[in-house]
Amino acid sequence: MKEMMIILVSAILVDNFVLSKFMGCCPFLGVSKKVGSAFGMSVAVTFVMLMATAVTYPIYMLLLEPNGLQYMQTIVFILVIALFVQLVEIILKRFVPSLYKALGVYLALITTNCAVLGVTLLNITNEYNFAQSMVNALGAGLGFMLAMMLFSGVRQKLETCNIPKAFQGVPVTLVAASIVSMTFVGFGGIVEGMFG
Amino acid sequence: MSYLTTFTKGIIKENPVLVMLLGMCPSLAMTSSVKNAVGMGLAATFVLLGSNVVISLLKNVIPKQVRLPSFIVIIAGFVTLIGFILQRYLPDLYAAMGVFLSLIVVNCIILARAEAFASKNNVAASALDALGMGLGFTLALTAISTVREILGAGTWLGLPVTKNFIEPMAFFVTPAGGFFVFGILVAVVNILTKYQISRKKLGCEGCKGGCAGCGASAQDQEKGETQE
Amino acid sequence: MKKSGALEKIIRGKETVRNASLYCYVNDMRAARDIVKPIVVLVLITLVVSAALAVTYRFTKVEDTGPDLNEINTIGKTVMPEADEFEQMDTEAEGASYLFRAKNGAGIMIQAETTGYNANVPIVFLVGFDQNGAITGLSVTEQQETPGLGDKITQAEFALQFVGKTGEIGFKTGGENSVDGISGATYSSKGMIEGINRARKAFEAVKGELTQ
Repeated sequence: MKEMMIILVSAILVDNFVLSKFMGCCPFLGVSKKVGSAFGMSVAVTFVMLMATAVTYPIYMLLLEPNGLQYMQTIVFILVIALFVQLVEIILKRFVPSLYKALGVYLALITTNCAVLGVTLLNITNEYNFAQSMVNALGAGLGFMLAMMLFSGVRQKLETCNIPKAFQGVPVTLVAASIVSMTFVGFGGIVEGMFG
Repeated sequence: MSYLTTFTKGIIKENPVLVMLLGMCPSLAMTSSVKNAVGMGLAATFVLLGSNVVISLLKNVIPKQVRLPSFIVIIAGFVTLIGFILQRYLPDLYAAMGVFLSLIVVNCIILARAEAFASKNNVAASALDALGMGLGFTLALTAISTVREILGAGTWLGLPVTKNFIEPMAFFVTPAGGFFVFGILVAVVNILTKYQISRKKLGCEGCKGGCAGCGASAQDQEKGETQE
Repeated sequence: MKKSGALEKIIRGKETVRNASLYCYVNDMRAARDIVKPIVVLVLITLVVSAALAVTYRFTKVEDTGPDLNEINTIGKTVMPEADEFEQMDTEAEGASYLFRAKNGAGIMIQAETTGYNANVPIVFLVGFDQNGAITGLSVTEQQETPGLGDKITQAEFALQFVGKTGEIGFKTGGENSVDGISGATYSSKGMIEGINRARKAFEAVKGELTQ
């Protein structure tokens, strides 16, 4: 249990996917302008991360590893994720149209969000078992959400600022991301403090 | 558009990282040292060249319903291939790139070029486009990593530069430093390109169709200059 | 396209019995082609790519031949200056990847792995223990820690902190077996300390073989 908590807290705060691993920067910078869309995107990403882990982990352990096909993992994982996201999109559209309306736009962008492929690959690299992998995926998703929500707040403040012309748009967003990222460095000792 | 401009546009005018703002994850994650940045740039160029050529050859065979999965499979194939090559001949670099080597699969630049250029142009033009974009990507990564490594570690490609008389500022090799240096460089390019970037919408906002959507800005620019 | 032709025939057979309308027939043909063609193309592409990869994998596969003794002997001169030459031991011990014995009985050198800040790439190091269990030296042979921070574990100042220590090492715990690590690189320092403590356990397990 303690180990699970360490994985979860590390994934959310210490090894935050966006701010310390640089995975999923594209939606982090692109979809964080409004708090609402940042939240929608994060929920969709967390959901897909969990599902992708639940699907790819057994495929790796039961199909690839026993047959010595570890080298096929990238190609198999990305294909599974791409097809899975499309499947979820179709199912949501048909059966839960309200949810589809809220998340549909983001789902289409998730296939190529490197955080999703990243979390499935890292679960294998770190030799997590199934339960640990799921916890890691949940942590990664929640960490993504935390970073997105914090950052969208920062960006709303930026909207009203008088920014030098050269920095308008993307550059100031990146500099703001740098400062948000720095705050997360402070969490470095938290895991040791809490569970040490 | 001549073959020459097909090649050169990726280097400066439409630099995939600093102007089009694609492939930001590796641009931030792999630039804490020049060696890794150049390795990542060349690996991505290899994948870009391979996938652009193959997709251009198959552009009339692939049905539009499975376009994205087909592209992804082809790209993933080349990514795995470069993984084999690096593991065999440059194991240090292979280890340094870790999971980011696999993540070239979802690098927006590659899908964007497949979608916006290779699936509409002939093989020669697609190959040149890939080489130009790959070179632009590599140069941008080298620029970012040069700043980060010199300021952050006092070295360049591992060789001491300012290490002995200026205390290195570790901030620049941390993730926060990555965002910061990237932001400053984009601002510089923004001035050089007469504020083109300020007018650009960032990232995937409102685009559909996977990260190929990330290349929407690329697609807009590509319209009207496709050649057959 | 043989496959899709056969399928069309089946669909056509069923449909003509059920519905004689030519319009529907043409429509179904088109629908069948729309469904079958993408699947066939995607499957073919995947097959070709996988086959190409399987072939290249055979040619580029690296066989693990174990450590290079020449290299071990060179590094050994700094890790355990007292030793003359090293030989690889057949025994295995938890916490050690490979074990090397000094031929003159000066001690045992252990190659081991640990995790630092960069969770993707393990740190590989060699650490030597003399007959009394005191650390004779440390050398990091492979690492991808943050340049300017964590990669200071390769420097002599870091290694020297461990030399002479005889018990389990603590991180800033005070006392004779405590080391300070590297400021700003807690993960790398702690990873190294954990790795060295594991290597010591491996040493304790096999030290009986030293005198043989």
